[in-house]
Amino acid sequence: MRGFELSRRRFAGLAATSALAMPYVSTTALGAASGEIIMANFGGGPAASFRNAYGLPFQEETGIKFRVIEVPSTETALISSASAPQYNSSYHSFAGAMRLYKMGITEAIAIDDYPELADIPEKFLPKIDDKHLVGLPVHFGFYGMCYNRDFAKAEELKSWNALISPKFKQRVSATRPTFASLYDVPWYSYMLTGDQKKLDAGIAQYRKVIANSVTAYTSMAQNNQLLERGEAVASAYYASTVWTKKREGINNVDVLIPEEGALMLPYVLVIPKNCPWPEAARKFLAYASTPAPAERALEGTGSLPFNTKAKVDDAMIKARFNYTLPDLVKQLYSPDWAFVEATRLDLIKRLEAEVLMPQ
Amino acid sequence: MRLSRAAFLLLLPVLGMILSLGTGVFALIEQSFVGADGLSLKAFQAFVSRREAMSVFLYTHQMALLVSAICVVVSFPLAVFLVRKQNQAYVLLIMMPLLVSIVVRTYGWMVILGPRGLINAALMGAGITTAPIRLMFNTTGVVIGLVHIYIPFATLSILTVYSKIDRSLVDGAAALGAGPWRVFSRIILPLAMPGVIAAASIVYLLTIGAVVTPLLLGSIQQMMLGSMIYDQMLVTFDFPSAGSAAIILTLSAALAILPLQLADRWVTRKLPAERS
Amino acid sequence: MPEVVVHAKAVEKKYRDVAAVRGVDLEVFRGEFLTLLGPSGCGKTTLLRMIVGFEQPTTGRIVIDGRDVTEVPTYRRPIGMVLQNLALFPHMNVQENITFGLLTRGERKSAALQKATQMLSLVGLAGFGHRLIHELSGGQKQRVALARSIVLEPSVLLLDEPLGALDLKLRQQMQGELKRIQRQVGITFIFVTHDQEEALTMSDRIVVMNAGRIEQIGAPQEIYDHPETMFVASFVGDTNVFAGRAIATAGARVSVELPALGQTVEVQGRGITPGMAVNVMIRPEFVALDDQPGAPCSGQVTDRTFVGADIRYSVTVGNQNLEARRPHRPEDRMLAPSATSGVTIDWANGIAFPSAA
Ligand SMILES: Nc1ncnc2c1ncn2[C@@H]1O[C@H](COP(=O)(O)OP(=O)(O)OP(=O)(O)O)[C@@H](O)[C@H]1O
Ligand SMILES: [Mg+2]
Repeated sequence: MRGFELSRRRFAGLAATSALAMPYVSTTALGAASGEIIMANFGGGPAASFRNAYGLPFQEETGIKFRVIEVPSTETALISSASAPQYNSSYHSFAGAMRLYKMGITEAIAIDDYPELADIPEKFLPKIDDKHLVGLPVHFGFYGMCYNRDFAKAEELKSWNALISPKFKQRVSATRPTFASLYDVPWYSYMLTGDQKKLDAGIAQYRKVIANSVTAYTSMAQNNQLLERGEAVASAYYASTVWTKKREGINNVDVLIPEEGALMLPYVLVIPKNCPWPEAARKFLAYASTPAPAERALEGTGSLPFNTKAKVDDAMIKARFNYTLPDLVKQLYSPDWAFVEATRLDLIKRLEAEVLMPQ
Repeated sequence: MRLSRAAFLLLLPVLGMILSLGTGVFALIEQSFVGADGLSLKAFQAFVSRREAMSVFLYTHQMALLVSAICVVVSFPLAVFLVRKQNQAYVLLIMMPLLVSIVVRTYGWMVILGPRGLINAALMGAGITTAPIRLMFNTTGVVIGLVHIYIPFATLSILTVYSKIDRSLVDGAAALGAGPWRVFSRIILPLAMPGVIAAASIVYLLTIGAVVTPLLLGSIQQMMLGSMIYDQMLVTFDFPSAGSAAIILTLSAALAILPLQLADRWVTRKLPAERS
Repeated sequence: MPEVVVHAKAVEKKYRDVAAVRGVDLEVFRGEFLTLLGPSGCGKTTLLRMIVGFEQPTTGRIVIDGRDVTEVPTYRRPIGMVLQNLALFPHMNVQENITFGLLTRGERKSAALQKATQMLSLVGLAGFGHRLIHELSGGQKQRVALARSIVLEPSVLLLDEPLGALDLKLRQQMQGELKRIQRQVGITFIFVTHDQEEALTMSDRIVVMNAGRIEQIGAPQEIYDHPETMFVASFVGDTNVFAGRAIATAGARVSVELPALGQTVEVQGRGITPGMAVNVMIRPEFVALDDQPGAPCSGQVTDRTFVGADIRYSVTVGNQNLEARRPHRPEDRMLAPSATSGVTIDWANGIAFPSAA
């Protein structure tokens, strides 16, 4: 009875999500055939990069058709299609992958199935146990100090504390609790105490940043615009946006890593449970763990390969991120994502209690 | 009238949509009542006991009240103007904002209201202020943004009722010695009241359900419940919290609208019933 | 000399290039029942709207009770108006409609209610105070509209075709009522209609309008018996018209040659010179049909209509059609269609007008 109860409850949540996510569920390949790999990925840059760097070469090599379907949120896409899985693979943050695995939506990745994992440093593996991962790590970005060069100088932003300095009163921006719980607070906690679990310190820091912010942004498009227009001069933000802007020739927004370091943002590929064609999905993940696709993916979105065998153009990385790959790896902090994920919902509510109240 | 089979087939997608939406809503309700240990009101207790959730809830209703009041006050003269003009082009002009996506419109406001936006640039350029004044990322911004989007709805609801008021009533009242103010307060306003009430109700409900505008034009203290539910539903998948908040929001909105509906019955009590 | 309540002085109204009212001079006397009569579109409503103040005259002045009110807004004029569509307030009951003006004026509610009750019995609606407007019949609405204007005791009350929407029976009943009420309250009525019978039965004086101008002002009988223009003659009552030529004039009498009949007749006529082309009008009641020989001419009956008190005949004399009317008496023998009959015309009651062309 208990089991039935649980599955019924889960079904309820899924149905609700499907209803809300309807607008984009309907644009996906409903009733997808099993003759191709269908991957869910974020619209825009990531989807295109995956198509060109991973999908098409894989298709050429194996003859298995590959297709990316662009969605606003890969997690929502998987959850809302859980009762009738249509994707064979999907792209997620570590924490997102952990959440999906816990919800029973994705299958565990057996380490032994992917020999190339030996070339990825152990600490970057999102483990369930000694033999399993929640997803296959493919590459990473980072959460750096992004700033508008017309309104702030790199020297002024040497420390993360610049974000709480009176000098930038109402001139920085910050994300809201839903994402601060994933990135900002774990990072500030670690930065201030050396222990990501001492959340009080991170919460206090985040509250000060919010108090110093012109606004708490809610979408990447919004923060991009805030930074480009100089409405906000600095922000703890995805470095990849700077990469993409520079690639487009927009140079007034830049990124740096303050002296305390910065947070690494690792991404993984997952396989949904009961997906239409699991064998092909595993084949695709095996291919994705090799150095070649990660090398190709770099230029498009600035995603840095985990595979230490991958050869990358360090000059380009330096030009766009201001650091070489080894430099970056040295300064980036990789937290325990399982802890981050496990405490996230409570943390969101604590953060809301701190920052939502009118002042 | 009997539907032909083909016509019935055409209805299937609609049926499917209603079913899946219905299932979703039903599921959400269920989620918020069923806890780990069976039926419970825990999710609701949790909502009520969170000060920030309650403050977001109250703020949402305050905004709904404020925005609907402003919309009505602004839309009434606008509707009168449109009816007087008798020109379809003006109505189209009023409807224009509806044609632009909400996100684009809201970004437009940033260019106008932002600290480096047109207004602040002009004020500072003219030496009226030295530092930018805050016109967005606060309640002012959210109100401006919401009023802007909802004015077409309010104007149209008032316009449909106002335009049906027999113009000769104004003449009739004047011939009975009533000056412009009395004509307005005793004839025009009471007869336009159903439109005003409809406008207020529509805007109230739209504001209660606002998600994007408060996010983009407000800062974090301007969080409204709709945005919060959206996050819980689609970002953190916290269904029990989302469900209970949604139920509380829906019930409270119904409760808030109730007096308006009663008022509508009251103002139309003497009019013929076949009015629709 | 009766006292003048409303004086329209050289009033003109142009809507862009349409002249709705042109050069109207009109004096309305205290207590009279004055009717504006004319075909649709002749400017009756426009003239009323200028008197009440809904419209500004393009030129000319409006004087009420000796005060020039041309620039005064309606609600400050001592005047009431029952609009063509009544304009009862649908969101108020009968009583509220009637007290509206009184309360607007600042009267105490109790006094207003009392007056409303009196007024309701005056118009025959005692006990209808709490009825809603949409629960009233057409005639009842009419009375409410009248009551709410009269209760204010205006110097003058304008009524724009208030009976237009009613069926014939109700209309006749309301005509009587209206006249009775007007006598009882003694308020000056300016009443608009395009129904000449209504005008004749109700009015103290009639103003006949045509194409924005006043054609003639006079008591109903005067208008009927002595129309001053061909338009008035043909608009008010039925007439036969003969084209002819004036041969000689003597004071108010004219000799006219009528080619259609091959006769020369002597009729009334002013402002006519010999040789002038004229139209002669003669009312059907002055055309007598009798079958005895010896009549000046004879004609053939083409049609017969029995209307109770009268019988109307259509007769062809030569190539001219004539209407004749004679009172019906049961013992009289009716003429059958296609019968031939002698036709005798009482030309002394004929009137000649210069023909337009
Ligand atoms: N607001 C207006 N704009 C333009 N022309 C108008 C306007 N009101 C009236 N007219 C014109 O003025 C003329 C007189 O109109 P008015 O309404 O006074 O006629 P009426 O004698 O009352 O006719 P009816 O018996 O049909 O009511 C008509 O030719 C009409 O078309
Ligand atoms: Mg008229």
